[in-house]
Amino acid sequence: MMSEKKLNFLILIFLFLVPLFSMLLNDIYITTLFSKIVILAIAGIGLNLILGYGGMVSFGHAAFFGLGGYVTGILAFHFNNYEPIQILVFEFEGTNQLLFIWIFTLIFSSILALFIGYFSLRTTGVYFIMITLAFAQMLYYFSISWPTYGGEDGLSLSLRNQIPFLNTMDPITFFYICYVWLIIIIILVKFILNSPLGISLKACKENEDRVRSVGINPKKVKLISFIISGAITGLAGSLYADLNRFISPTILSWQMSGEIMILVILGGMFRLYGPILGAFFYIILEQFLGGITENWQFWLGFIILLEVLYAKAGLMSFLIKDKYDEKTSS
Amino acid sequence: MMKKPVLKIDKLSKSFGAIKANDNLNLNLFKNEIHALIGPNGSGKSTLVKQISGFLKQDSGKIYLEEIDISNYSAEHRSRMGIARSFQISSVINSFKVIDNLRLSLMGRDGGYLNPFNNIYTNKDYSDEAFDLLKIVDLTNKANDLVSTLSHGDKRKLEISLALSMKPKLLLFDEPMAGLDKTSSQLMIDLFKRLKVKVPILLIEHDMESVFALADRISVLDYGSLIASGNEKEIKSNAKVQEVYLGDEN
Amino acid sequence: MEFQLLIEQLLNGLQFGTMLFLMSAGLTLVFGVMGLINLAHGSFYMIGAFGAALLAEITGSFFIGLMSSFIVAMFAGVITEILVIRKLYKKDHLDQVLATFALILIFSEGIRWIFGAYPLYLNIPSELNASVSLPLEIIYSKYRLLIIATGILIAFFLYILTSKTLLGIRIKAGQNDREMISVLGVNIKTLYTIVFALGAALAGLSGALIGAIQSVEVGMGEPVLILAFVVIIIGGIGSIKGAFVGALLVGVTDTLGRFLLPELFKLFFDNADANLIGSSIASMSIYILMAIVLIFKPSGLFGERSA
Ligand SMILES: Nc1ncnc2c1ncn2[C@@H]1O[C@H](COP(=O)(O)OP(=O)(O)OP(=O)(O)O)[C@@H](O)[C@H]1O
Ligand SMILES: [Mg+2]
Repeated sequence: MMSEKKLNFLILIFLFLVPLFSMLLNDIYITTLFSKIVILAIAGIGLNLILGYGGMVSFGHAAFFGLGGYVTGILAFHFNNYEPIQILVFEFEGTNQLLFIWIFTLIFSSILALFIGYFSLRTTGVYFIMITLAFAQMLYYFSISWPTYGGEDGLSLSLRNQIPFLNTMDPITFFYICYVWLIIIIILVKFILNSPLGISLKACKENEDRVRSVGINPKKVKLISFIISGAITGLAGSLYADLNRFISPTILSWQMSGEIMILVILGGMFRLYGPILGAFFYIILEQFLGGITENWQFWLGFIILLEVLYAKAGLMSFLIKDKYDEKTSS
Repeated sequence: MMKKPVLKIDKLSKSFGAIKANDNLNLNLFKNEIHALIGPNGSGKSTLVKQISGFLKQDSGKIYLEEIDISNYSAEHRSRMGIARSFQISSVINSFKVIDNLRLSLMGRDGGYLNPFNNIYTNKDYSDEAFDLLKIVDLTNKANDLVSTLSHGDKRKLEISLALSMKPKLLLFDEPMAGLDKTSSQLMIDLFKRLKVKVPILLIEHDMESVFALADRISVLDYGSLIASGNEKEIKSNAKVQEVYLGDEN
Repeated sequence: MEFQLLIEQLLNGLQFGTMLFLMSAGLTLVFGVMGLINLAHGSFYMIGAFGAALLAEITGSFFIGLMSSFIVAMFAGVITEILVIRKLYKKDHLDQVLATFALILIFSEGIRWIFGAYPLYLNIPSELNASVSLPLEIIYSKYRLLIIATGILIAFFLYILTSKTLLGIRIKAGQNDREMISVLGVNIKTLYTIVFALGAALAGLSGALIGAIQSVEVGMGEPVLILAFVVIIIGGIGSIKGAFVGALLVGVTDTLGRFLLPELFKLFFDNADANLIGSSIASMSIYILMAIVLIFKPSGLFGERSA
């Protein structure tokens, strides 16, 4: 038992050190695994902003994750084959510069989130769950049926995209790039949670009437939060594409949305670091169970089921003693 | 002498299916007054408050705040313009601390609630103002308690302080004393008396003793229609009122 | 002949729609009565198909296979309801989504464990595996007509069941007011199990019917599940009538979209581009349909309360 602050700190240190040690032992596998953990954690933090703090059950966050992946893949694809991207009469060059790619990813996933959020937030409850799912499915089927970027087979990138002075093909370098992003996202979301937007969002989750009677428009609060959430998850998708040097419709699938959701719940919904712990256990569980049995998903299903039925609060709560006031003030 | 009303309600109507919850209502609220709205259960009192505050859209009629037609403004817009309300069933953020409820409302009042950066919890101005507001309703000692742990009476008080925090031009209180013990009720009565010189109050209340103790003017609703309006004496002696309302109490 | 082709596509849409209805009926009842989002509904579709394939293999009779799909899925439904689903009625939607997502993993991997990774085949008996001539020189598959007929028959049966029988009245009571039904002195637990099992059985039957056209494999249930969700959202959650209209709408939109949209785009683009754009948009058409319905009617075509 420890305080939440201490556990958070331990999580960050642990994530920082393990890949370093494994690199010293020349183990690329662990480093790559940890990159994946960090990336999924970012996606989860993005979702958790609206799911945990805003009570919006989006079952379509794969749309943003996948879009991030596709923006990254498509820009790199056009860079590699020297063909400009044509949109109507406009032409754009591709690029392999990560700084640009990230900016494009953030812009496009924000726009997509604005669009999806604007329409989805007109509904609530199950309808919201299902309309977010439907939007993600639209993109999924579109990516399958549009052959330019590989359709169902997906698209391989020969090299990772670049950052000046860094060798992104080096696993440990790429890991720390992801790690730095994780830190940035944590800081950003922490700011948001303590900000006017964050407190409004938390209030909207519980009682929209109260929020409106103090002059706050809950629709705007939820939409802005939805956009930020989508952008963060989109960024994770971009990193994921570079990690694997491969994109395919799978990253837009509803199973992907489910996976992001599960790791958020597994770690603990109302806590900033919950998704990180969740991503860690999800990936480790996958590796561990996958190592001992081919039917690991069967057991994963059991674990999730037990978690939902009997241990709602998530892993974080097992590890820390809970001070009730920490939940609300960040 | 023609006084201008702070709030003017003009031929307001609202139906739910076949039920006429509000039928062609006219009503004013002037400076320095407590205007009590009474009527049997289901007579349409809360429906009127919901329409004034923008939580329900009227079928027809107009609502004016200081001569501005606000009939089509959203609830949040009206709140920011200074229409503050309490809810019949207390409506506060239970998962927040008491003081954070006030931080929320102060921030909502001042706008800028989409700002994702400034730390609201460390904003000294808001903390100070919040404590001042809590002092008014005698709740400072519970400032850092979770609202979910408060008693019913304390939640009511918090709700009143939230309404006050909006720098209101008028207050709509929907049965603020329901379920309160004697001391708390008395605290509310004293508070409302002090408040009315600054902010006029439209008060819905079932307890006649409190109504007569507080109200400068009383309007009576029955089946959605206004059947009488006047001071204590006029209301008490009104035949219609006696029939539908006071009649069954005697 | 364009016209015959169009009619044929329309019939395909109808067949697709009636099959979706079988899938959606249970989903919408379970949501309407018990307030449960059941992602594992697709698993019963799969279980029904596997059950049918296995029993058809053993007995050599396609029809026994079909019958058993219904029974096997119903049985699986009863067990699942008692062991897991019951615990979810009082939980929030998020928990329901997660728990039933977990059930999908369990069912899919469980079936893979038992039957292996390769698809099974369920062969349509030769007397059905033929075409019939309809009026207007239309030739159409006998088997698909059978699916349409089955779907309509079951829709009719469900209509009678929900509007004319005691069970239906109880279900309605439960839909409108969950307290009410306990006042009526109905054993809610049993009622819920029956409703759930009936839904599962219908899903299983549709899995077997379609399994015979396509193949019987792990994961076959999920794409259909998502379509069924689209159907009940369009129709309005909890409404059997909505599910029927929604299913036909989705079935016809999807099938005709794939057929007509490329043709439509040929008016504006050259052939290759038109095919590409047309079929890409067609693949999304039902989701677009759903989004449009929700934008104008946030609780679906026949939905009353917002969930
Ligand atoms: N959302 C609604 N839908 C349908 N009918 C409603 C709705 N809200 C109120 N009503 C009906 O309108 C009438 C007036 O209700 P209202 O809540 O305004 O009464 P009230 O005077 O506040 O009663 P009370 O003293 O019990 O609070 C009642 O008959 C009520 O049933
Ligand atoms: Mg009332």
